[in-house]
Amino acid sequence: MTPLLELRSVSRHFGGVAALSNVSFSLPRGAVIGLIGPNGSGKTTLMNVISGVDAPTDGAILLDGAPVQGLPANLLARRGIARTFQHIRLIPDLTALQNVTLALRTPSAGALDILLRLPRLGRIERDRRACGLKLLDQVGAGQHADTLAGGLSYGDRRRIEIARALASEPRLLLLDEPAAGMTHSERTSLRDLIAGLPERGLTVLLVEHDMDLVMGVCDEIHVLNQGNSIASGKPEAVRSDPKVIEAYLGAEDA
Amino acid sequence: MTDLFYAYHNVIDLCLLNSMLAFGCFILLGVNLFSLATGGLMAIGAYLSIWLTMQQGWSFAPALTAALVAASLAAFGLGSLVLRLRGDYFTMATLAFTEVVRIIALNWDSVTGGALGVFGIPQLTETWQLAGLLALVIYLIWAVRHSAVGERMRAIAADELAVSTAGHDVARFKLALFTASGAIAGLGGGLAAHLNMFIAPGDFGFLRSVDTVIAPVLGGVWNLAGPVIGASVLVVLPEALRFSAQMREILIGVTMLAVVLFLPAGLVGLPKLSRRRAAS
Repeated sequence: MTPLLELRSVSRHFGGVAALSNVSFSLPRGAVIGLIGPNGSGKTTLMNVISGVDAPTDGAILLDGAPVQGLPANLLARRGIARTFQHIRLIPDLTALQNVTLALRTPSAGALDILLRLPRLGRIERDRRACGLKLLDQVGAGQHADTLAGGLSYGDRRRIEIARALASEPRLLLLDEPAAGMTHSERTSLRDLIAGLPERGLTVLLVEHDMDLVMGVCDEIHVLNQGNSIASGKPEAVRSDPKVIEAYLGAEDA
Repeated sequence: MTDLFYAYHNVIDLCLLNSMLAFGCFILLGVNLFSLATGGLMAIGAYLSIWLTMQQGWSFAPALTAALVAASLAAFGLGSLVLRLRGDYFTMATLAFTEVVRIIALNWDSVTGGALGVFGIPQLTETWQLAGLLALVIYLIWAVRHSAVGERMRAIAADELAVSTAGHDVARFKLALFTASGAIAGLGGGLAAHLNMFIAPGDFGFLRSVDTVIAPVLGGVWNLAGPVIGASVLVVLPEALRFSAQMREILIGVTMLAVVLFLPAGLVGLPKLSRRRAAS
């Protein structure tokens, strides 16, 4: 079976700086794949390139075997790639619920429904509201549905951003440091949430610094250092890989 | 009351017309687009509609409809080209469009009368039409703002990247808004041309574009009352300051500056501010 997503020698250069060089790996369907590496190793650049926020300088990205590199973000979202951001990008002056319904795939009202305020409009908006509430409940933020996103805590906003990503009914979910700024108990429920995603038909690429979370939830881990893929494999193998330890702790002189 | 209406009906007509035009810029400002194309789009609507009513014998309503459609198409074409430009560059490109239209109008004597303008235009625009069409524009914008589309507009204003990663084509959305604003400008142009007996290319230039975009900024960009208040102040203020030609420009400039500096929400923010003053 073709993997859901395959990266073939993906590179991204900014002027003379290689943020990514020849990164290749694939995401099997229904897997939770971790992407780790020290700061500046290219993790977010890779997320941007996969989600269409940025385009690779070289290489190919195949979704279901079809090349998708360089497509704009909105088309990739339509084709099933959703993401969250390291720096949360909720709309502060919309409510939590409105932020989620923004990404819903369920049909929105047509121009005539809106301009003539046909009865259909109310029904459609109610359906969308119900969908959004369900998603907010799933991430544990249902009680904040009608609060403006700008006024919520960091952990809540992170969860609402995940709900928004899920609203587009993705097949591939890219999570960029979802646990950052979360309390211990929030991390535990985040872990349960991520672990449950493959059952719903999702494949997850997780960038995260919280090693307990990464080791606990990922089927496989890829390690980036200075834009190069330096290791990949099962969590236990990666954890004890000398190259990974070196990348994180620096080379030992003694 | 009727005496008052007859004494001031010119001013009232202008308030209504300029309010409607201001809504064309209002919907663009809502997604951070600062357009100076209004003058050029108005000119297209104005010249087409008077050509149809004066030379082709069309009646007013179809001529206005044609003006609206033509300016929408022009806005669609212009938007397809210039909406990819960012910020200042977009504004400059829309200004260039207005200038190009003005220069064409200056030289296309057979339709526009060149620099001398067109005289003897039938005065077909009635106050009730202006009021009714303004009400219609306000209703349509209100309906859109109170829907999922309005939420998307606010989201685009705050963070375009978040909206596109949520699966929406931001460029197409902006093009639709720009086309709608072109429709308003074209309609306004047709109404403006049949309001006075005379138009000339200078009526639809840089100053017209600036006045139209300033009105919502002055009144308030986030409130539906903003464009009406802003446009009305801009019509009434020069009338009130008629005693001095030089002071007029200066005082209008000072008023603008004061509003931008002290009332970031526009004049609609004034009652809230004075209430807060009274409370403290």
